[in-house]
Amino acid sequence: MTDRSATAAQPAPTTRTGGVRLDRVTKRFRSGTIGVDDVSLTVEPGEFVTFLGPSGSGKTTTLNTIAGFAKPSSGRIEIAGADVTALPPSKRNLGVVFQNYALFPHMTVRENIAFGLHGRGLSKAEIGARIEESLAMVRLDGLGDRTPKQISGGQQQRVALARALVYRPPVLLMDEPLGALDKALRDRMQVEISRIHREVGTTFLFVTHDQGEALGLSDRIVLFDRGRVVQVGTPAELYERPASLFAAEFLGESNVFRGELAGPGALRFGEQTLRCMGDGPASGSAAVVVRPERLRLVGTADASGRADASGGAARGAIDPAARGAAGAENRVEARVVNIAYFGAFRRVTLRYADGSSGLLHDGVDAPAPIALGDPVVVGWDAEHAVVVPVPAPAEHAA
Amino acid sequence: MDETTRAGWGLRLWAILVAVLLVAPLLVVVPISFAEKRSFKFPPDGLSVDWYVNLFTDQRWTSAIGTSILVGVLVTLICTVLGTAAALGIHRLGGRVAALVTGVLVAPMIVPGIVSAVAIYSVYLRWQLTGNLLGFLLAHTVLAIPFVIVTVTSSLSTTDPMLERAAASLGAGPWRTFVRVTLPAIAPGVGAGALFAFVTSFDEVVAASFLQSPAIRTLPIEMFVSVTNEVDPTIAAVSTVILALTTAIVLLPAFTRRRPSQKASSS
Repeated sequence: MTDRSATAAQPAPTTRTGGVRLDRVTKRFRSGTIGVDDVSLTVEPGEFVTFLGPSGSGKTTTLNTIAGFAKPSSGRIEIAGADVTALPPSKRNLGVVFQNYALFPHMTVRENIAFGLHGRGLSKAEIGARIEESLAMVRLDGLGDRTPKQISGGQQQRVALARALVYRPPVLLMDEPLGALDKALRDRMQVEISRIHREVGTTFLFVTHDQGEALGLSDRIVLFDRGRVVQVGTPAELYERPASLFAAEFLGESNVFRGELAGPGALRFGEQTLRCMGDGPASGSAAVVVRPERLRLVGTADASGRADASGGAARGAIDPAARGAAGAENRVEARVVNIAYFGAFRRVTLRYADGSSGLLHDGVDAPAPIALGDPVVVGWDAEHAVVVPVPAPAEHAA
Repeated sequence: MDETTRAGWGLRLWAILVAVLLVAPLLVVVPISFAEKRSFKFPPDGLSVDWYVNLFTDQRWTSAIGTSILVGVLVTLICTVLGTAAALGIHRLGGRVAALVTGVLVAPMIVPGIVSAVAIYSVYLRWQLTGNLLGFLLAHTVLAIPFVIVTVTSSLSTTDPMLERAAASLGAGPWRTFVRVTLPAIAPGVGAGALFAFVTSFDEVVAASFLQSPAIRTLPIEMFVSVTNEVDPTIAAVSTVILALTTAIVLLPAFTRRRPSQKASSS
């Protein structure tokens, strides 16, 4: 959406390659379980799309049907405009980066990269040039003669990328490629993958269960749950406008207030009515989702639980005016359960009156002097409160 | 320190005792093979290399050696190709069918040799496969192929299945994937299987004693005939040669493996 203007402003890659289209793809396993359930999806040429979901949600199986490693039970798969549903993996002209890299252990780095250039009608000189070019792209110049065992995990990852891109496939598939790396290396490789994506202009399909990777890398995120696509959108859309409780809870952290809708943009929560975005459903069981950084401390509550946001008279601790929070449209009482300092922000764990727990991130400026066990009042604006449907009463109780 | 050395001594004595019991009977044939007279007396009265000369000149012995090597090499080739193919198929099949196929193919390893031999003999007699090379090849292939299947299957189970997917994603068809990726990965298993197949064929007595004729005899049969019919120290010479060769085969990998690692550490 609006936040993606940064992407649009980046220099356009030299060539836009092919897109991917899934049309009602379903994969039933021999055991009868459904791995992928009626998934339709269009990935634009040159796009970076992430398949995000918990394990067993169908994201990897969907990727496998695109790669040709799994045959869909029904549906159609197109790559760069051509129907590839019946083609074996070797004829799909895709690049694939595997979770454990799957480098050929008996070959050198250069031989690994050269493997995919075989039989593509390239001269020896061209092959040599392509290999050196892709070694340079992943910044491994000079390591061509090592074997996979002689290089580090991060370097193996780069070789896997180079090997999958050297023959310039229209689409690159990556299955949890960063899963085996440690945190620092993972962050560095994310930056590298973004850079390479911009440089080559290939369509990237990236499978991960890590929401941080999904938010940081993608043009669009496809959120999977139980074999189905539950939401597709830019990272900002998914984070700020989750369409379901699952989306809200899987991607990022949230405060969830469950209640009954009392019209568009109004939810009955206990004895209160919470104002929220009005474009959701207007009646039935629902929940309001508020992100931790949208929540503000607006006052303290006295021991009897009566909210007191009139200037901090009870304890004199929090001055809403000074914190610029006077305008918070919704106010809810909570108790402070935990406070953790993270440097860039402070993370306050809250417990609400209905027993549910929540989170508040507050900035480093003038942190309110709150202590564990303190009754507080937190507030937020309606424009930051998203209404999502709550499926069944049973789940509501849980 | 003291305790560990003492414990070490007890263990060492035991190990030496076991080793002597295992190896001593084998080593007795070495001096006998160098005997001067036609006798199995131990220790021999005088020394000579007459029996080695006899072994490599007497047409009876040389043709038996030739037959054994020919049968062994051909059986090894057949078993390695078929056994590797079978193991690949079984590996891909998976599940109950794979277990069944494995059971059938590996059965000759479990069924007592004499039972297989009698069965093979009664059938081959009808098919006129006794007393000729083809009969030996078929019988030994059946008996030796389980070793290739077992070693290659275990190699396959430790090979990363993603390697074949990677090769396929890079555009390699099944044949190129096998030759460039799978085969190098399972090469140790294939090699071990081939060695076992050769030894199984070379060493096989029971089926061979049914299938043999004066025209075609493998080395173990010739040795058996010799030791039952005559006093000929040539059999001790054969045993010594086989002992030396098998020892060399066992030790060879240990020596060849050390060299590359030294190179790697020096560079």
